[in-house]
Amino acid sequence: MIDLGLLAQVAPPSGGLGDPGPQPDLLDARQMQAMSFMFHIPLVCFGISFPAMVLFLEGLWLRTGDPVYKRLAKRWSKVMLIMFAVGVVTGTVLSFEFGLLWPNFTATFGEVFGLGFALEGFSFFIEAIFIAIYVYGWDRIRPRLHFLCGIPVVITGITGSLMVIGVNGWMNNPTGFDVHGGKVTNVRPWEALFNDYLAHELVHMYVAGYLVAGFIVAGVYARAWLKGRRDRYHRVGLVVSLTIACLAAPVQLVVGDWAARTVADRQPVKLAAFEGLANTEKGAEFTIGGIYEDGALEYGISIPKLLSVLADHDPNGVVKGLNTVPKEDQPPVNPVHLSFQVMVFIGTGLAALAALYLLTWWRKRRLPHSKWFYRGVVAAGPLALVALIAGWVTTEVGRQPWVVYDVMRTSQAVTAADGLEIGYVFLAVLYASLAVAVFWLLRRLSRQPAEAD
Amino acid sequence: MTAKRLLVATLLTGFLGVALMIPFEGPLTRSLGTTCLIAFCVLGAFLIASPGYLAEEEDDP
Amino acid sequence: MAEVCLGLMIAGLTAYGLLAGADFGAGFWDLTAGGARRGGRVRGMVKRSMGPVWEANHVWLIFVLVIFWTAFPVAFGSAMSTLYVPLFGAMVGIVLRGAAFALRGQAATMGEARGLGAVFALSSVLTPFFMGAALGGVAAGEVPVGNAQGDPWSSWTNPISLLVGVLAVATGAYLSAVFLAGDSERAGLPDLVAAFRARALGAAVVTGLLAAAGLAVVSSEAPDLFDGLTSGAGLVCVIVSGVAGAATLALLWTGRFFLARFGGALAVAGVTVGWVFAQSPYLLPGELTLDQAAAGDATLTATLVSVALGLLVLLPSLWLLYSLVLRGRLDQAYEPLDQRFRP
Repeated sequence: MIDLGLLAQVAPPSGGLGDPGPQPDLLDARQMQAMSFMFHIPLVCFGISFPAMVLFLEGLWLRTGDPVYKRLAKRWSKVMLIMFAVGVVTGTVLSFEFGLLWPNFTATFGEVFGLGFALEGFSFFIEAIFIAIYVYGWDRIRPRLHFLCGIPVVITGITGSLMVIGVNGWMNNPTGFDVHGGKVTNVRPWEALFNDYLAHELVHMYVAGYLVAGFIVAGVYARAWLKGRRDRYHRVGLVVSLTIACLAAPVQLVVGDWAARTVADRQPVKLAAFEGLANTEKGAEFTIGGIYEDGALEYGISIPKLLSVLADHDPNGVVKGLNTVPKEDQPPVNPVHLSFQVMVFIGTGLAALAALYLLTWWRKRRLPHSKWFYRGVVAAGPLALVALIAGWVTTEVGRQPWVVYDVMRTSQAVTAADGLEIGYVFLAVLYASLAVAVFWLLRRLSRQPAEAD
Repeated sequence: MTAKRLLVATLLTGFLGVALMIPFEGPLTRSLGTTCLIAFCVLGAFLIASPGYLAEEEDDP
Repeated sequence: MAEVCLGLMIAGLTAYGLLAGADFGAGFWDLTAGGARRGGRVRGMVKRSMGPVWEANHVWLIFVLVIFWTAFPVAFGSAMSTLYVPLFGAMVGIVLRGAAFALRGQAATMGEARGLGAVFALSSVLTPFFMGAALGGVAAGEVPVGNAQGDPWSSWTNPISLLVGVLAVATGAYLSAVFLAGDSERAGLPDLVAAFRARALGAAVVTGLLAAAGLAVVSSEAPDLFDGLTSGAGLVCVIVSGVAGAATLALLWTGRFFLARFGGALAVAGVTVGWVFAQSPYLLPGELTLDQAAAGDATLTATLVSVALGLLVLLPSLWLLYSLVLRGRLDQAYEPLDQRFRP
């Protein structure tokens, strides 16, 4: 395990392609990357969790013979295919951007982390194959075989993001290589990918996948519910998706704690940015809200000792501040602080909503009657999505100015090409149109009666 | 698995998961804790979204 | 080991060229199918045969990209950063195309269908053009080592690049017509069989002429590459390609569409493989040889092991999908594409 402190003292490698020089387009590049990622990641959520939900329904159909389950499963498979198709396409954009936006990052470290993407590529391949067989094979291959063909889709939905998250973990916690005289040597790719950050990032993202997809789907049926559509079809759709999401929500709080502990331990400056903590403190307070200016957090509400409890599980624990490193090594605090708090706030709210659902089931063995509950579910889908993106902003912007923590700065990784702002505007227009079109398509699909499938 | 056993298993894995994850931080407790929490979700899904519950019609309140 | 990794990349690129190329080519026929009524039957066939396999076809590209940046990272960074204009164009084309294709199924009015169809078809032509132009840029030696050190415009608007770009579109159209003729035969639609047979013959002639023109251009613009194509393994590939192309013409003429698929595939594969031999030992001609560009042994070994394991699972799965498709097990009902829509 490489001591990050030692590496930071060595002159950071200029990289395989040399330093790009002054880059007025660095911000454009980062914004483009962020935008492409934000469009892709909700689709990843569906890829991770939706196949399991579809198969759950098909399992019910096979077990009970009730056609309602089949109708729902077929409808959901159509949605699954659309999400996958758009996911592949937006994922291809991200792959291109590794070279178009960050050639020096990939040129320098491609041999360290690249393997992860090879494994991910195979996973997507197999997922594409079996999703096609599954969706096009309804009523055309034997029911048992059809169900079995869904299982690779569930598995590859999980393995597809496994190594990509491994790479992200590696970026936060670089390992599996040495730096000698500005060059990367002694590459150990397996060590790089199966790093100490993989576990918590993976679990946190997987649970998030179930939360986002689950609440979005539940929200669709909750909306129908509020409009009086409460037949069995809608009830089953609501109960299956909502149950899964509500089980995941409290679990995510526990996993979030695990993530925070790891970051507090290994990337203390990042945690300090989450919190807007300028100086190292013992028994540090947690500030809700607030704007970071000139080394202090103004206008927030402080809760004494809570930060130390969260970060260290000890009310008198020491929490490191931003100023343990020079200013140019600190991430931008306000975006990180704001998005961290948005994520935690929404996550807690979702857990509360979930608690209501689960307790009502526990005590009354029925669905809640309150209209406000269903309004909450309708809101939960988009809110879960906001939390997801806020979480990714927290971790990615929190890692700045590094692209490889303490080893390579983002400014060293970026392309030297000109005119990125044109690409950015173009891509933004493209994605906006795509978002509208996909939304339009799904809405139209939902209006068709299920028997038409 | 009967409904009662499923209920007990769900609750057990839930509590065990939290108990393993919050106070401890070793690789063993993290693995076991995560497994318990995932099991909680899976068991809970089969428990609540059971054929019996799903077969009910909604009587409008 | 570096050679094996390169071999894998080229195999993946060939697969992409054959399968996704045919998909893009289908878009070309969609674009040129004619008016709404006349073209509806052709368009319906395009849609039907693309359905189950198009995503699997396009994942080959990611496979190629990933091996490229893992095994030859410096070459990857140099090529992508210099050729960012055509590659950005290709990227946008891929997004538009995939989205338009997925959405077209839900179009309810003629206007919507036409609009989406136009987006789909146009992007199906531009994407292979841009990719071909980028590959041509590499072959023409326009990519120096370094971060965007090549010229962003002349690197892909030179004669070789432009020619390879057009050739990419043509080969896609050619392959697609051959495959669609076979699909129409399987669907029992003789009018479409005739339509695609005619298109396949035309495309075969055009592609052949373009390839010959390509050789001429290369002989004057890139003498080293020309030498590579006219001697040794490069020459063998060129000959195989030519013979396969001629054989495919004959097979098409006599209506043997199943075999014609393989002939066409071999003709195109001969070009991609021949190009690699012609360029050897360079990965970036004149700048970076394969050995210079290669990653360390640990990475190459790990890559080969992963790919081997991955292929163990992938190849049987692919075989399963294609056998189901070719046996008609996943066929959806055929519908001409105009009649579904309310005016």
